[in-house]
Amino acid sequence: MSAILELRGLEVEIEGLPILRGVDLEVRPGEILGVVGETGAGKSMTARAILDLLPAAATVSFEECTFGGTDFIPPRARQLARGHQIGFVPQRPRGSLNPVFRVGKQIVDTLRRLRGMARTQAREEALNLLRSVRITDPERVYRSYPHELSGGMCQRVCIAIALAGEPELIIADEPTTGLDVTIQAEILKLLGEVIAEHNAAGMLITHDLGVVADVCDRVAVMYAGRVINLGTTVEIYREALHPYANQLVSIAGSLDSGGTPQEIPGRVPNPGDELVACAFAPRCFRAEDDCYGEEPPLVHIGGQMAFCHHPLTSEAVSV
Amino acid sequence: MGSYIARRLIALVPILIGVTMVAFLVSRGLPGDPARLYAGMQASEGEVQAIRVSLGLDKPLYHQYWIYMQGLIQGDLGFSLRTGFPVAEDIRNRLPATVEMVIFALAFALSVALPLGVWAAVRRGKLVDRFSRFISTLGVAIPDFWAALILVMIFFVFLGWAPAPVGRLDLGASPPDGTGFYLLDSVVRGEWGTFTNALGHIILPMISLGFPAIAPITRLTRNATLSVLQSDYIAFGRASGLRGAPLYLKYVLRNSLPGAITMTGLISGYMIGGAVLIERVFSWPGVGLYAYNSLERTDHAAIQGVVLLSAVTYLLVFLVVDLLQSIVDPRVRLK
Repeated sequence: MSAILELRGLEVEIEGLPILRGVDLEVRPGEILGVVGETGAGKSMTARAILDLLPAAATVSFEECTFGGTDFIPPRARQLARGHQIGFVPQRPRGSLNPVFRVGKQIVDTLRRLRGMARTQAREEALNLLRSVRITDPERVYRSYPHELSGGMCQRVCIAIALAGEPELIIADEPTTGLDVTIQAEILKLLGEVIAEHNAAGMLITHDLGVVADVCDRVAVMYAGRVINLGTTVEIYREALHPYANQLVSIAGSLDSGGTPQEIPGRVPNPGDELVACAFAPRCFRAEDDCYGEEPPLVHIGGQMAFCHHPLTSEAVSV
Repeated sequence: MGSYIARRLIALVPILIGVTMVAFLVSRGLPGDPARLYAGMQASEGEVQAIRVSLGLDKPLYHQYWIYMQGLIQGDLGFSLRTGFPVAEDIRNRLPATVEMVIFALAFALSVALPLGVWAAVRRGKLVDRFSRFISTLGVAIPDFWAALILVMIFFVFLGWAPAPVGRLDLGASPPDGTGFYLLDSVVRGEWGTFTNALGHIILPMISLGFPAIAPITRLTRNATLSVLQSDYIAFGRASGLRGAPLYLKYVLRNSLPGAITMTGLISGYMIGGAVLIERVFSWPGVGLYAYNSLERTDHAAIQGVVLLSAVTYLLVFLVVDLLQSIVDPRVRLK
């Protein structure tokens, strides 16, 4: 199955500091790919690079970037994809809607811009979109200003806006940040449902592995500006190849079961820190000399891939 | 909103009473004897004294104020000793000229300052930004009346493009009937010759009065825009495909407006009361020129009338500013 979005060797530098150091990932049609990692791992930067929304000071380079078969390396192509091929769901939904315009107007403007609709037609469609994100009183929400709505409601509106251009891929960047826990679950469920209903694919950026388990088909685990482990959700949860991914999962597991998590020693490197060959080596319980000296190889096992000298399996085959 | 406006208007009354006192005292403190000026230089001391008595100037100040207030309550601002007309009528005749000029000056200033402010913020540190700073410095450094004189010199004296600075129309041209707003009246009546004539006359006053206003509005708009550009809603708008003119002139500018609105209010209040020098340069028959001439003749009632008008304008402008703020930003509540 050919990927809808394919990224190889995405590198981003901001003012000389490497932020992304060769990100490889792909999103397949119909799936939801979870992108997880701690703060600073480069998850949001990856999303912003895909939409050419990085700060002006950033320099970006790809080895490969295609979307539905078309070349996505030229910035113009990525800019034009915003809203059209790629819908975006933001973090902090309340701050992401323009405070001085009514919600309905913001959706109508989006529809007119992305789909060239006439005003009356756009109004109808806006109400439909609000219904499609399970808003029970779309007329009221349509007439509301963002500050009159709850965070969860604002996120539903943002999802409606993301859907307005009938995108093939929806990128959600920490979509549940700042929402109540009960609302978080609803929003995630909704995201999964609308992505399926619109025959789109999804890319869900989060630092919460529990979130991933609920809605994602595959998971990319990022560390220090790279995807260090990628596999199906089941694989990553049961038998992650990379020690880092493995430990993240067990921390999430023990948090869920109320136990005391075994924390990973050390801290996440900041951009610009001196890195050894495998950036995770200083914190890794399996690290040996080669982890410090040689670039970790790409290992494939089952559906998984990982960059690791000592993956957590006996049958690892180096490629 | 209606009750809010009503409450605000009622709250104006004590302020205005205070203003009348100040205006009254200040105009009495001016040098010059109105009775002498009125009677003329040849009049004898006895005649002047008779006039003084007939004008009530011999009475104690509190009594004079009392008489003034009694008239004011009935809308009587007193008589101008200089023109011989009721001050209310004088002002009513001259106000449209000033208001027309102020509206043009504000429109000119805003149409330059708002886009320039947004543009300078978007291209921060680039050429436009530096240009906007240059314009701002210029606007602060150049007094409006001096700019007016220079403009007259260039565009009337040297180039001959502008008409002579002799009022609102060419000498001999008859003003259109109606409200006293010549441009409006001439359009309503279809007198296109009068319209172009009046338009030609208003351009230089508009630029001279409007130019100094560009600086503060541009700066406020630029700074507000800088923070709006950093906001989550603009990031989300961009991610949803919003860009170019709709992004900047609609989604960004609308959020950058509050500061500019307050500043424009301040400036317009100042302009109505303070267009004195510009009106003088262009012989513009407005309230400013009226105030200037009245001051020269220690014309108490007229001076008080103009000060009161200026105060009322200021206060109303601030009411309008608050209403506009609540329209532009729905989160602003009127209390």
